[in-house]
Amino acid sequence: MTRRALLPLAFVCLLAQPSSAQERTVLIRNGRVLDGAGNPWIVADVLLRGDRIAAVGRLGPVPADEVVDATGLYVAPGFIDTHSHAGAALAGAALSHGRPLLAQGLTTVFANPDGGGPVDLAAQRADFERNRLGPNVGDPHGPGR
Amino acid sequence: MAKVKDTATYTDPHQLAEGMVWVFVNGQAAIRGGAFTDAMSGRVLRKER
Repeated sequence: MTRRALLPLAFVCLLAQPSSAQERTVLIRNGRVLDGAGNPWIVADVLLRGDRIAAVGRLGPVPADEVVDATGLYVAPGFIDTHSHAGAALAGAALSHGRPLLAQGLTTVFANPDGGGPVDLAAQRADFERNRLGPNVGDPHGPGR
Repeated sequence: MAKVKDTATYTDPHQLAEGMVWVFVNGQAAIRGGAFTDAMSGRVLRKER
């Protein structure tokens, strides 16, 4: 009897676990949305679920954990700096917050340009992860090594 | 859009850019209503496996 009773319950838990219960949602409402592909802006809403963009469009009354009124604001994908000299600073505890980058709308930077940066990328990555990061960081090896 | 601007100058370089009202990194607000949150939600990017 216990087996029959428990199995459906486990199934329901598994089904219920993704998205709604676990992942936080943010609805950015009524912004001038630029899609990053060079198109003109459109008035739309953007729904974030967890770390993903879940939907873009006129979404209507979608339930969300937080609603941001973006009326009159431009909404763009996070900017990416593919040639950033901020790697050494971001790897240190004092500046890993990346505030100067975030203030420019940069959410991702690629460090170690111009053949610069450390040879030991594992150590650099460990520094990033120990101090935690404001923006995302890609840390490829620079050229010429 | 005119509110987005750099404020640093050659003689006074340590100044933050202005104009970002909200900035989200991996779904978490790093700037909320114009103020830093220090959410530290950035990640080291890795090659997809």
